Amino acid sequence: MLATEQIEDMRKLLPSGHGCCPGCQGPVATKMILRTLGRRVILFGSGGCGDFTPKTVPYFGLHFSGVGTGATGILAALEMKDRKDVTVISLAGDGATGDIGFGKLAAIAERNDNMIHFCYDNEAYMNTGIQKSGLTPFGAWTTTTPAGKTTRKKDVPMALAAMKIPYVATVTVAYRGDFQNKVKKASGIQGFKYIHVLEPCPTGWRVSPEKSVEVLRLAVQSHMWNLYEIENGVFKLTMKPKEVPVKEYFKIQGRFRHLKEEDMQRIQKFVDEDWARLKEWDGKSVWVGTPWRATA
Amino acid sequence: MRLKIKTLKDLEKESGIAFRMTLPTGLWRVFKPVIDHNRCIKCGICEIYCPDYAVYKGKEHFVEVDYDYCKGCGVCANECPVKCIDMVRETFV
Amino acid sequence: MAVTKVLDGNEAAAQGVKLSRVEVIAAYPITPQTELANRLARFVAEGEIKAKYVTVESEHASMSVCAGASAAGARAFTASASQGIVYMEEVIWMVPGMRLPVVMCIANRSIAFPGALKATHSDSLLQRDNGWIQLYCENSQEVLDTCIQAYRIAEDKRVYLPVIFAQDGYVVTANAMPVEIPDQEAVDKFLPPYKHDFVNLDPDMPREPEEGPVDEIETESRYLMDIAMENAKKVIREVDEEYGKMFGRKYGGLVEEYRCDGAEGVLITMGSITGTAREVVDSMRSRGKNIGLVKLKAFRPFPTEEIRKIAEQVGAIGFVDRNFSHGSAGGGIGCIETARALYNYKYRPPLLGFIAGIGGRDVTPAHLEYMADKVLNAAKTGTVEQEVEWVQLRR
Repeated sequence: MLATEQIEDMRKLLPSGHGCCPGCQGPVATKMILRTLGRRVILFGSGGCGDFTPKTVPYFGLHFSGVGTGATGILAALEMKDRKDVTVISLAGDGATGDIGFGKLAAIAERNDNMIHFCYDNEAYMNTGIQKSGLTPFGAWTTTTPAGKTTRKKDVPMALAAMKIPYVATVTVAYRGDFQNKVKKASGIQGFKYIHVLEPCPTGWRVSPEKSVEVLRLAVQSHMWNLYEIENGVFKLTMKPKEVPVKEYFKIQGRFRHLKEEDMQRIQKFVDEDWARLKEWDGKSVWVGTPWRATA
Repeated sequence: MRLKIKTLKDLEKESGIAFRMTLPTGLWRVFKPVIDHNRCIKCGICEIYCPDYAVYKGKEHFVEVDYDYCKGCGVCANECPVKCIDMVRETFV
Repeated sequence: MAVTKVLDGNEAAAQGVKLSRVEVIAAYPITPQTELANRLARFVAEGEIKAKYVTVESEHASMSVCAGASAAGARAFTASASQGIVYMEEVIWMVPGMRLPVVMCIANRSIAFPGALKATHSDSLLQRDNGWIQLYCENSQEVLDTCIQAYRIAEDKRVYLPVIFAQDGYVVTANAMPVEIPDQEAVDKFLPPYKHDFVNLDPDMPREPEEGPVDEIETESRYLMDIAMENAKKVIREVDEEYGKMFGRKYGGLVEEYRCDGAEGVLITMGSITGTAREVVDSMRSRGKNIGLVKLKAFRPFPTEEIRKIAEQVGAIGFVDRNFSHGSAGGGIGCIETARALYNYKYRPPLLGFIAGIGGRDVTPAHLEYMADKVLNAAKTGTVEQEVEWVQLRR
């Protein structure tokens, strides 16, 4: 129940002249989301470095550790005012979603609040200076893991899928048709929807700004990031790309420059195992038992 | 008690300095995109992927570049399917 | 039709919330406020309050939910105590800065470590810097009345600051007394529906893009909040007058003076100690000792003018602090604020600081009489033997 009143002048909505790094795809993700969802949107929180919060859509932000809970309050108020035509979405970075605010998200999942949460995943605490977060991939350089991260990337979408929310999806800006389809599908579902957006940070990933979108394509093609959706527990791979070895993905990023041959092979093994597992799951239900929910 | 607090707009008027959120990001760039409008196939991909809305649907041509804000990141040139955008070294003469 | 029921502090607060037509409630249970959260859930489930009850997973979330709801145009309420307050402290600071009129009930409880389950005012006094208005309640009737008045004060156009109304854990929250519950229609006349002048998250409202870096507005924002706090003094007095006219109960505005005429010395108390102190004052007066009592209802905004007027008339002041401030300039928090109020004033009677009631330790009439004797002694001699005294130490 969404009124997709289109936004006439997107330029006024996301004006130029913000302080994001050249090539940052955060604003592009926000553009795509708002293009799909239309004008009747209230935003809570700010994705990632946050400088690109839209200016003419109502925006409310608390400190980043309160991921999504302010949106619960906004939803409660809208329900009391009997307004059904407004969509509430919540934006947060990977640090807020996966580390400091994970408990809050888990509670929102349990309450099944009717909002979409977008995680802008640039794989570290970029705004404070490229420190490692739980969602930094194995082997990556960050200022707090200068020798390379020794633990694997936290699997937040799967963790939330285990909490049996109606819709979980992973997207990236490079595959925009897939992105917009998933946002549109999510906006038509009642309950808590979670969409995890992989986006590059040219500064933190040490990648040349013009290759910001290309590096995302390589991420998907090398299976370091897989595009799937879990709708009502049924897992579906939405992109089976032409495959490329992980070495290609690491080559253009400075943050993997220190990886030796055996590290890269180890990572290739992880990635191949995960991809094989996901292909097995394709089309099957990943929930344990069925959720008992009151009718929406 | 009548209170007169100076707002940012008042300070702007008085001092002549802009306290704006819109930074003059056009001054950041080293390379600038130059579009060859004859070869442009009007797909709109450059406009979609520009993080700054510096490539926008223009009046004269299908897409134009706003050089006041373009940061010169080069994503438009990299993503153009027919490679009709060149990144040219900026010269401030 | 107003009814009288026997209610304890938690139930009275729940009735107050119901009468104020609150729309969003998010309260995380913590002793001694659990009954309040439970009672509100019951009211919502049975349809007595038309509100959305959000079962939050932590106090941090409860205040975030209230802030979001208030910004989107709904009247919001939350309640907490010691550890919960300290956990939600991050979000508590955001609410007055955004000028959202949220009302919170604090069931005063000691903060660990050592901590206790019973009353100390540290948790509510911790908020004295950030812009929350603080009102202290002596008994269940006052809790109910203050809850309704709190929304009226918070939503006043001259104020737009959130309000805390505090009740002592266990002593007020769990002690029942006959309470008159006003009629809903009368309360509706007293408290109009909530509509914020300048904060409204609504896509249909035309808005201009905001401009300007946020760092630049801090000084001016905080100054405007200072002014709002000054206005709050006037608003609290007005609201108290009007409530007294409509419902027959007045609390004196920011302070209440009890038998201060001709008093040689006064004790200043906050919260439930006042109840015991009234008895002690009566008893001492009947024996010829001229002690008076001042009940400090509002700690923020601090009633400087009222304290100064009292200082003109008495020979000594003793502040009974149910709190502590380790390493402070001398005494508990109330004593220090009173000192500042009187420092530049021409009437500056001797000021004694007493620390009592920490961890919920019972402040008995004997203790209060001891403190009152000290105050009268200081009034007679004009000097202070001991500036700060911890009254209830077990030696």
